[in-house]
Amino acid sequence: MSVLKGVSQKSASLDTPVKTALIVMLLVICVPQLVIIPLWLAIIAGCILAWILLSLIRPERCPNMPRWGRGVLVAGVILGVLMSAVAAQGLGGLSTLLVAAAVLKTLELKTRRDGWVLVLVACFIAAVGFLFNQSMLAALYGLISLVVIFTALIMMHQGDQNGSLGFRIVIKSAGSKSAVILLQSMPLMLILFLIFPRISPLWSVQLQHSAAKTGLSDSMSPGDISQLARSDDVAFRVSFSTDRPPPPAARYWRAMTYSVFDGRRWSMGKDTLIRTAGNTLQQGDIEYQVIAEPSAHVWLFALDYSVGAPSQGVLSVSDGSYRAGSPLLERINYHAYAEVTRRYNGEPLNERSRYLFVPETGNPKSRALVNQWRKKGMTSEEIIDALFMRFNQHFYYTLSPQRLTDDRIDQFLFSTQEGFCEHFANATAYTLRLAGIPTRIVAGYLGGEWNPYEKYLLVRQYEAHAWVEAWVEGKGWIRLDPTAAVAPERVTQPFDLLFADAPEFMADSPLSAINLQHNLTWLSAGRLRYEALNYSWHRWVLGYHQEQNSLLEEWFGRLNFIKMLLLLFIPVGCVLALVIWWLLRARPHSVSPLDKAAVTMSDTLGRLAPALQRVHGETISQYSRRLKEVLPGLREELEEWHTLYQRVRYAQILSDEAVYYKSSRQLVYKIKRLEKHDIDTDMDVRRSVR
Amino acid sequence: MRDRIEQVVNAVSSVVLGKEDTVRLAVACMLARGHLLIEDLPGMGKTTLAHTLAHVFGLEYRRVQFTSDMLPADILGGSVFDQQASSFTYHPGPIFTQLLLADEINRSTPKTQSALLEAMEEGQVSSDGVTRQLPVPFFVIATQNPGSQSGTFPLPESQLDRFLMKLSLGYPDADTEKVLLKHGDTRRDISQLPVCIDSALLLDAQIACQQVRVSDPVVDYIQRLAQFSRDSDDIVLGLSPRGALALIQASKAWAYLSGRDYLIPDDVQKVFSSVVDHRLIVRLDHDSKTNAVRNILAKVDVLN
Repeated sequence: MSVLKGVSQKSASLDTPVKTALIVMLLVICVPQLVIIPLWLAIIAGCILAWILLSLIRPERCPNMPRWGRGVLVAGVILGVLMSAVAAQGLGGLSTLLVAAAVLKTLELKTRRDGWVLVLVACFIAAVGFLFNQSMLAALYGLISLVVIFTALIMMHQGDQNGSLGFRIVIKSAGSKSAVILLQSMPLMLILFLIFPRISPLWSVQLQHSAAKTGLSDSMSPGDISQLARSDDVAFRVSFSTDRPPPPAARYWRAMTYSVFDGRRWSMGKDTLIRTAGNTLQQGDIEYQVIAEPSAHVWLFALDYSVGAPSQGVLSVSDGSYRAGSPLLERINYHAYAEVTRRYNGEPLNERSRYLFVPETGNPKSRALVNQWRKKGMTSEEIIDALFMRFNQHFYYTLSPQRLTDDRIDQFLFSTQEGFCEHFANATAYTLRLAGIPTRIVAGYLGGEWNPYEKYLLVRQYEAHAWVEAWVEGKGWIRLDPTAAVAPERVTQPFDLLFADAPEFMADSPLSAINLQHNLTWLSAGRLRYEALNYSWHRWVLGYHQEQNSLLEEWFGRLNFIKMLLLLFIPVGCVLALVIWWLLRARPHSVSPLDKAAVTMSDTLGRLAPALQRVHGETISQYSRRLKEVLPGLREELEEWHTLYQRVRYAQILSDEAVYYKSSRQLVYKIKRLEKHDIDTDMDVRRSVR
Repeated sequence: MRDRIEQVVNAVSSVVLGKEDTVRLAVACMLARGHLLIEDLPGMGKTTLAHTLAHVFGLEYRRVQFTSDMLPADILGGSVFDQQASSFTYHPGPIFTQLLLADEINRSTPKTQSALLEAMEEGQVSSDGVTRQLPVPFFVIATQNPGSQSGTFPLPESQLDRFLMKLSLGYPDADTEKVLLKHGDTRRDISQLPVCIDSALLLDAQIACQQVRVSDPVVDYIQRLAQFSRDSDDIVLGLSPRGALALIQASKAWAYLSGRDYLIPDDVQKVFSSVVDHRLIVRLDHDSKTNAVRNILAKVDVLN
């Protein structure tokens, strides 16, 4: 019977309102995927869905698509998906495949089973969306998507109701029902969020290749960093233990140092990857916490100058930068310490030659200039001063310098005399190396926007910066920021104010709030508030797993895989077993309170002698008559109780109810006191006679 | 009034010996305004019971012996040409009486059997386009031989449904039979029996039966009995809603006979078999019909 029902349910055809709801559901689910899937698929999907919707609303206007038309469409889409999946990097292909499959499924949306498939795929697409975007808005949209999916599912199972009532009423009731279901599941969701262990994926997913498209890289040539100014992507967020940011001039965030120079590019020295303990902490050091966005790179961000040991999982490198153990594919959260002025501990410089290497030839004018300075017998500090003086007097700081060719440094120093931070850093490091001063270029970020609502510093990609460190005997590495010499306002003012008018600044997102806010103060405040909210989201929701890890560790000790599985599956298994038992248990009927006494009597006596239980077909009068024979001591009580029972239960004389309950209590009390020997022993004989 | 009814029971029992329960059921059937079918082998006292009931209730009664060559007009009556008046005049049949004894009803053809149908259900007879009311009260007490007997036309289900109860007398027990043998045929005592009740009193008693209170738990019990008969694997055709209504009706009469003005499950159980037996179709491979019916009572819990 049930099997038959199942079959008929699966093959039950869907009526128009349900189909409409399913198509609308698919539209809602696919909207966030628009930024991921290729344009052609979006257009085709839009056309198909619109056509199906139209054919549902106006069936007479839309003839059925011919069979070969469907075939061509399906084959074409499959081919397109294959091609774009090959070309796509990361998970874009998955999303494309899912959307294409779901949209093609609508072409054969006939039975309830098709509807189930569509609902399942929609759930999957909604979940896949979180691989690409985990912001608060995405989460909110995910909730809305779930409500929509459940609405469609509920409508599918409402059956005939859909036809008789108006579409609007049906969808309203189904929608509110699904919202209620979702609300009811919230506590469970919260519990799972709090305790469900975040198991790292069993296979590595190449997350968001696009993350690598902005941000610093492991080598640098002039022009690389000004490219970053086109992007307002968030690089990282920092909060400070004192809730106060360091002054703008001290917000140098070190990501990496370039010590190797090949005449054109600066790149990282491999041997700087040494784990060191760093200096010991002192009074006045800054403690801060960083939430770094995924970048597909290993480097992290250290406030100059790093000191002490950062939190676990962060490697500290001898050049003062931090590094993660593996490329950042997801947001990472760590804390570290910084000292405001560098304390030189007298360590000598290792591998001095590397910090002094320049190609033998090239840039003759620069060489001449440096030779001239050296002939004058200038000290290191004097040479630096002279160079910075030059910068300050003759140079321009611009986002769009002229292109450099051939002897780039000569050209920069003597003809164009304009550039972005990396041009200055490049020229400074080169020139000082010519002068025999060991240098390296530091790449990182300068600045950050302080959010007063949530008290954190937000550093964006356009705040990427490059500066120089020079080794001065007796002082160690000192920071030289040539940009500060040519344009001190870069250090003291927010970057977005400085370059608001430059066409290159944030060329990738011309309409973003950052560009507009200079004219609208309320927008600026609103943006800060939104970012504060986002920060809390990142910190408390997305970043919760680290806190959870420590919490779980505190409770259960270090977690290994087996332990986690046990912790997870034993309680869940127990709960499931309970639920199944609850659902499958032989359910005693909800006994009327008036009948309870009889049931209790029967149960109690049944424990003394099974034959004394009331059998199913036995009425109360028959039962009490039988008991009277077996329990002569209780004859009168039984008689009284039975009469009252009949009066209350069948004659419905409600005024006797209280008396009846009292009599029941007394009788049950007495029966519970009965021992085996109180029962008439020849009961069995009598029963058989009966 | 109730003691008058009790007298009826006693009077009938003095003729139909050792069958007090059956007699009570038969009386209950009449109090519930139901028609009665008595099924048994020949010579078990069916006709005696029917006769006695008719006599004791003080009803005007007629007896029709059903045979296979009988026509509907033989029961309902028909129009006969009156030569003096040069027109057809209607001659009422034996059915125009307060109590019709339809003896050996299954000996007649289905055509004649169905002629009784309208009369039993509606209390009226339609002949030649004229509808004539039957007297009130109107009862049919039919007797029939078991279907295994030769020369019988079994009553169709629709017709069986018209009878509130089907009773069977069965062989008397040893003591009773000895008394019977010593005493000889009791049938001639019938006319000497006092008439205990008249039709007006009977109507009052019937109204009193209708007013017996039925509480929810009992309604619930009856519904569950009916439902069980429909779901049971042993039963092909379960109890219809009309059958369930009949069950309540009969139970009420039983409750009234037992001196109560409210129904208890015991009443339902008492009348259950006689009301339900002929309304169910039990699977043939099942050893006995009564077993299936008794099974229903045993399996359905009185308390919910």
